[in-house]
Amino acid sequence: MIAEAGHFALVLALFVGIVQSTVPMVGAHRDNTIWMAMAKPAAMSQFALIIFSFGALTYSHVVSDFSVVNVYQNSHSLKPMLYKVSGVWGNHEGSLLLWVLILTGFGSAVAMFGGNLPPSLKARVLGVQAMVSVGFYLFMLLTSNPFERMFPAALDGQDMNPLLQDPGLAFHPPFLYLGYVGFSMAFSFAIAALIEGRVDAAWARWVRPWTLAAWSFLTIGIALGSWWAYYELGWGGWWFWDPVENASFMPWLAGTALLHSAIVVEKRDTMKSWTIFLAILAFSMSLLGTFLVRSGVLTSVHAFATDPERGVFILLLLMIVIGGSLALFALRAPALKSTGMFKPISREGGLLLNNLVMSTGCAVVLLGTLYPLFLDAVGGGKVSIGPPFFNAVFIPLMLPMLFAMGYGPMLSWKRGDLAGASKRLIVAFIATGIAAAATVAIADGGPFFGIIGMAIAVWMGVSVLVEMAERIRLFKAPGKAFARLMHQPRATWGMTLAHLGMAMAIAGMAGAGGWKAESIQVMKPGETVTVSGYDFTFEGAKSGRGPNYTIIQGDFQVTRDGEPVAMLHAEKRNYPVRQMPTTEAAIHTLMTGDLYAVIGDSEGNEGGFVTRIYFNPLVVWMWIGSLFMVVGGTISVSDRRYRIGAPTARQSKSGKSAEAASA
Amino acid sequence: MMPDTLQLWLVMAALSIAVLLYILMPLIRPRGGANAAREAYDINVYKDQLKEVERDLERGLLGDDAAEAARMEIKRRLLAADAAVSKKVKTPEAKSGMVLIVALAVFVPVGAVLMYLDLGSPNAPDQPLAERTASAPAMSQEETKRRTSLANAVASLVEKLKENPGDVRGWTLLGRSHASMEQYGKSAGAYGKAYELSDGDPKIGVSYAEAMAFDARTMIPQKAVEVLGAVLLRDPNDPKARYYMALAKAQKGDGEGAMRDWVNLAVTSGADDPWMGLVNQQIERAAEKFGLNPADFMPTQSAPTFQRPFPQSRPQPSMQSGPSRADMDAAAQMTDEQRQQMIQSMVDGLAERLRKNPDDKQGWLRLERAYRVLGDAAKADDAAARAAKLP
Repeated sequence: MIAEAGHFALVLALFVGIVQSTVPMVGAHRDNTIWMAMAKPAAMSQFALIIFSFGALTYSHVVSDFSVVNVYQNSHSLKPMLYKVSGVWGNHEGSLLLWVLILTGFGSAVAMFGGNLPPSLKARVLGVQAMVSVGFYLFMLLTSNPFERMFPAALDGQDMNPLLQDPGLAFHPPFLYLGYVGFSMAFSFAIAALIEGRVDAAWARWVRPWTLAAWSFLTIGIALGSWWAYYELGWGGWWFWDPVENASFMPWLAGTALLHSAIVVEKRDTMKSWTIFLAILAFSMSLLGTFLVRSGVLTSVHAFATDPERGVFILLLLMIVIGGSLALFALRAPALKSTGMFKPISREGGLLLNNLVMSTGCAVVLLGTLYPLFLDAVGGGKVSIGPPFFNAVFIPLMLPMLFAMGYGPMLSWKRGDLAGASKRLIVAFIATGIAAAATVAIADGGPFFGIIGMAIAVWMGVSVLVEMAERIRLFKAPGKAFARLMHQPRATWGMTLAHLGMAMAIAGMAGAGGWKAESIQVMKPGETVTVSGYDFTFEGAKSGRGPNYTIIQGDFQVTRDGEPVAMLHAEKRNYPVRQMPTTEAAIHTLMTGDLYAVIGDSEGNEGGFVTRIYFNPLVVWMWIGSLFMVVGGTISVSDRRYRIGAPTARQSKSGKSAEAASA
Repeated sequence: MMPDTLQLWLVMAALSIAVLLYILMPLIRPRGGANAAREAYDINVYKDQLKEVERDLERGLLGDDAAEAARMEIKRRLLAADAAVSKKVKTPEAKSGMVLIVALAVFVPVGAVLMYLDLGSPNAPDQPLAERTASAPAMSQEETKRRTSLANAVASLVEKLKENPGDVRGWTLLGRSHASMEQYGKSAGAYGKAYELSDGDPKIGVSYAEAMAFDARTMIPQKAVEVLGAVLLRDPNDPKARYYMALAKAQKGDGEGAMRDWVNLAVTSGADDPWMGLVNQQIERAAEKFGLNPADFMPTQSAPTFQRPFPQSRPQPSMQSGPSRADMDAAAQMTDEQRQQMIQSMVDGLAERLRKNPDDKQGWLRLERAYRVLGDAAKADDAAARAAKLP
């Protein structure tokens, strides 16, 4: 009964969505306040219905109701409870349900807290939001229904892909989706603004926090995914330019551009078309990302073609959303008036450069991801575009921008003083030179991009600190510097932390990319391998048993110059239901780098095992850097200027009543 | 206790009514009063921006000049917005419309119920595992017996195979048992063992490939296609292998190849062979999907032409010019030595063609594989290097 009730709630949500995407839109067009007011309860009920529906599916998973096809295909009675729950969204159908759960959640947030938005804008935003959810409901109900039943029920399930039975991946998709779907808010605002033909002052103030929130979630999602790949796949790497990773990286690039561009709209009332375009781009990339990963188009174009119903629906949905919004953009964008002017060398100019490079980077990743698919689809054979392409194109593209990132915050609005900024950045220049020289000296040379990466990381880090020191006049008037530091607006804190985080992440990437050391061999108990000055002694392997898998655990004693550093316990698990092995790399994190050991198959009769040992320098800084970025984004969202009240309903010319409402 | 279906209908009714009342509320009981003009909202933001400038000035983030410039700019916008507010004095429309209320009150619940009845299974109760285990005696005794005996048989078979892992028949039996329990992954594993031990017995090979295909659920996996290819070399007439091979081709988009194989299978089978229904169905589907006419694929002679020469009349992309059915049929009837010779001659032909058309990456990759099969590592490496140079 519960599964069926969940099914009905999903269908009912579809019909509420249809109402929400039409009545308030017509109301906004006719200036009918009552029709517009329907958007709020509709958005709230959609959210409530989807919570109900998601709860029903979760219940079916938890009680192992194998008459539900989705449960049968992705669960198993012996699976640990954590993965019974995370299995709800660890598959195509369930992940779509999570998607709409988040989508309607965001919609209801606008409905609840959008009191300070002009009513017609709010009605249109919710209308567009509902259109997107209607597309997803239809897609789910017609091609990927999570509540499909089968009779007689299966005796037991087929279990979830063991690679996904991992805490890192259990929580990775919800964050990723919070990010993806968060961009739907920017998208709905963009489309609403295009329909209205105007961008209100309140518009940017609303778009930016939503974008920041989405961006922060997406950053967590990507970092978690990358972290998972790092320890679970056991290849010692953290980023493989794999299409699935690219799918989440593209919206991140577009979103990063968007949140910078939204600052300009808010502060200077210009670059409106750009911002709207980026909002459309960010959400389009999110949709593409969702479908690329979930449709099977990535594993094989043919697999996609064997399920033509789903494939055609996806293409249609993408075409309507992306094509439709771009067409509307082409039609209405010229009508958006901007009032602010600026010179190329200015804060605006710097932000524009960020926008251009970020969107070019996004285009590069898109090309590299889709080109092999297109070629395969038109019968051009299989090619794979891998890390060499991305490293050769993407990294050189980003370097100038990362350099400019030191300057941007130092320039003033409208017109900046490049020479003056350079003078103030002299410390950063010196530090960068020293860092590059020190890197070469310590690492005894090294790859070009590794050295450049370390230098650029130091440049960014120091220039951010210089900028903060300027703001609080640390050197000119050090007495009150601390008080000034405490008085900085949260948005400033956010920027400083996020930029610092970026610098740390770059340092981690450069270190691990440039100086990673690895060693693959067969080791017998008692044998020692030395990697980057650390001695790894293999102490033998033992076997054991987990809830739904068997384990081989290999122990390594790590010492450096005879001093013990760590004990590493690397595992290889075998999941009998799916007959799949997984590796659990043993990682010991040091500030200077990660000790990383993987155990493979047994070799020979004397207890020998294939082992892979890595030393990944500075890798931990990547995760610390990501954390800084997320914290920076979160602090920035909480900035007080995003909390403005609504004007009173009376049409008053006097400023007093408006001021009273805003207080 | 209430019957399950009744419970469901009550929940559905409650959900529908609650949602309907909630979303219709603004229409039924409209809140009076007009809204503030558009620009009034802008004014609020500008005022806040002015305050922000003051704050920044206090903190020393802005110089006096910059603050003054920023103030001027914001005030200009403020004035423009203010002027716009005073111009627009218009009461917005506030009609709810009885028609809309009635239309929505019908559309939402009726639409949802109709669509749900089409998609859902309203009469099906939940079947949580715990409940099912508790009510296990309710399962028909025969079914329980069959399942337990099968499970017991499998368990004892596994024990036996541990002691005597070289038992081809045992592995085959295990594969079949797992297949009948719909555990295709395990089935494929057991058949794979048997196939290996039997040195490629075609009958086992077909079951092996079938289990892999069932396990994969969507596409016939590459490994299965390889096994099927090997099976067809030894027994070119095996209908199951021919059927799956054709299906694999169809899935890879090779409609013509699939059609040719299926039509061939249909022509060479008896009308009441059990697989004919499936074959005819596939022919129909392929005809529709790839836009082909099955009649075009009728073999011109009733017997397949053996020793058809390598297609040389027109240069074809190398992907499509794999060994033809006839080549494979012919290969099956040869001795090992002859087979080796035929493969060698085909490889030579490919090498010759690549000399003329060296830009064919897929060709080089095929050549590399062929050399590996023939055990000529040096030439294989050479071909791989050529392929790697191509884009």
